[in-house]
Amino acid sequence: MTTAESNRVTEETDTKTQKNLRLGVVLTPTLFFVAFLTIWELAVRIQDIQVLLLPTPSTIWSKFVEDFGLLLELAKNTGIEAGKGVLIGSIIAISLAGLVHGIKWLNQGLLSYSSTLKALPTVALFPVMTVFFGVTSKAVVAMVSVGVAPIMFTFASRGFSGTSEHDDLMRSISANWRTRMTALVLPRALPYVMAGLRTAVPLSIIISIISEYFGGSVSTLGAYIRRESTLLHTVQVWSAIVMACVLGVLVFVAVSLLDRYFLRWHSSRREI
Amino acid sequence: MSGESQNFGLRATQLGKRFSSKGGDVQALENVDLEVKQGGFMSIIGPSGCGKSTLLRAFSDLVEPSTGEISVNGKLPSEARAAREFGVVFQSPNLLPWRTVLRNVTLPLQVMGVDRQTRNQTAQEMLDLVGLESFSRHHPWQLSGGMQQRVAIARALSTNPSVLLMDEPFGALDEITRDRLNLELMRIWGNLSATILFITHSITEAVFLSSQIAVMSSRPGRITELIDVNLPYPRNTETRDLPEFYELVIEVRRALVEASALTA
Repeated sequence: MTTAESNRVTEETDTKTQKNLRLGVVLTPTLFFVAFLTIWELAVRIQDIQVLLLPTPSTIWSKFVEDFGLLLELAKNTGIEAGKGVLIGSIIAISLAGLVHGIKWLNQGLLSYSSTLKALPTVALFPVMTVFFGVTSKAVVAMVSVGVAPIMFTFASRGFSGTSEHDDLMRSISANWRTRMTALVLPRALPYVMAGLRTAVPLSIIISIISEYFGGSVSTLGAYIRRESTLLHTVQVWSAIVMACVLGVLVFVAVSLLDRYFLRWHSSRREI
Repeated sequence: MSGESQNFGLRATQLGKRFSSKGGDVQALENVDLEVKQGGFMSIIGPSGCGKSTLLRAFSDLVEPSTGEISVNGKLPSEARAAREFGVVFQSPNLLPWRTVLRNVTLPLQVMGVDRQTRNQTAQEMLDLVGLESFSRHHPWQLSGGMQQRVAIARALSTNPSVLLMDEPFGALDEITRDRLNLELMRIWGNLSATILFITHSITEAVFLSSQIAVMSSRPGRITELIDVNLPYPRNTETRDLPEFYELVIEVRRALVEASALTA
C-alpha cells in the first residue's frame, strides 16, 4: 500500500508543522500576558496608585489564592446556574427547531424572531424574571435560558433544514422515522448545535454574572462582586473577576473538547 | 402485473415524467419503453439533462412517474423498495461521514432490523467483495473517491438485492480508477448475477460493461436506439482490445450524435 505509506509520511510532516504551530500559539500569548502583568505591576508601584483604585497583579493573585475556596464555591454556583440555563434553553430551542423544521412558514417566522432576539439585550429583562421567579437562583437560570434559546434555535434550525443526497439514500433503503432521525438528521444537525454551543456557553456565564449583579442567590460570583464593590473591597472584586475569567476559559475548553469528540468525523476537523 | 413481466428485472412502458416549475413545465421523460431481463446489464447513455437520472430515480421510487407503467421484478417500485429488491448506488458515494466504513455498509441491514452480529458479518463480507476488508474501521474522509464509491457498492449489495440501480457511480473518478472499478464491477456482477441498470456518459464504459445499451436524447428525454453488446463474458482487460469493442464504441458514438441532432 504505497498510497497509505505516503499518506502516513504526509501525516507525520503535518503533525510536525502542527507542533511548531501549537508552540507558537501557546508561547506568543504567554509572553504578551507576562509582559502585560509586569508593566501593570511596575506602573502601579512606580506611580504609587492606591490599592482602592487599582491593585497590583501580585496583590490580586495573593488574594485569589487566599480566598480560593470561597471563590471556587461562588464559581461553582454561578457555573451551575449557567449550565442549567444552557441545558433548559438548548433543549427547548432544539426540540422546537426539530418540531417545526418541516413546517416552512412556522420555521421562517420563528427564525425571524430568534434572529431579532439574538441582537436584543435580553439581560435587561432580568427584573421581569424576578417578578416571575422571585429574586432567586431560578430567575438567573431563566434569564440564561432566554438569552441562550434564540442562539440555539437559529443554529439548530439551520442544522435541521439541511437536505442532501443522504435523504434519497434513507428513502431508497426504506429507513423508518427513528433510523432517519438517529442515523441522519441528528448527526447532520450536530455541527450546527456545537457551533451554537460555542457561542451560547460563554454567553451563559456572562448573562449569569450580570444577572447576579441584580439579585438572586447570595453565594455567586456576580453577587459577591457587587457586594464587595459597594464595600470598596477592590482587591476582592478583582480576585472574583479572575475567577470569573477562569470559569469562562474552563467552559470554553470543555465545549471545545466536546466539539472535538462529537465531530471527530467532520471534514473541518480532519487534522485531529 | 401479468406473469410474463416476471421475467423482467426492470420494465418501463410508455413512461413519462413532467416536472412543473416557475419557469414552465419540463418534459423530462416521454414515452420511454425499456425492458431489462433478469440478470441483464443495461447501460443508459445520453447527453447531460436527457432524463437518464430521472429514469433511474423512477425505478428506485425516488420520483413518481407522470404517465405510463414501471416495474421492478414485476412489482411497483414502491413495493420492490419495501421488499428490498433493489440497491441504489448514487452519483456521489453518499456515505454518512459520521459513521465508519463498516457502519455505513451495515446501515441498510440495521434498517431491516438484522441483529448486530449478523449485519457486521455480512458487511465485512461485502467489504471483502469490493476489496476493502482492511478499511472497515476507517471514516469515509480517510478513503479516496474510488474507495468511497466501492463502499457505496458494498452498502448497496449488503441486502443481497436482485437489482442494482447505479446512477453514474464512476462519473467523478479519474479514468484509470474508473477502468479498474469497471473490471471490479464485472467481477462482482459475475458472482451475483443481479440485474443492473447503469447510467453513464462514458461510451467505453457503457460498451465494456453492458449486455445492452439504451441511447437517450434530451428535451424530451426518450430512448432513440437500443444497441446489443455481444462481447464475450467474462469481460476483462483483453475485452478492451477486441476489434468488436471498437466497432461498438463507434456505433454508440454515432447513435449519440444522431440523438443530439434530434435535440438541436
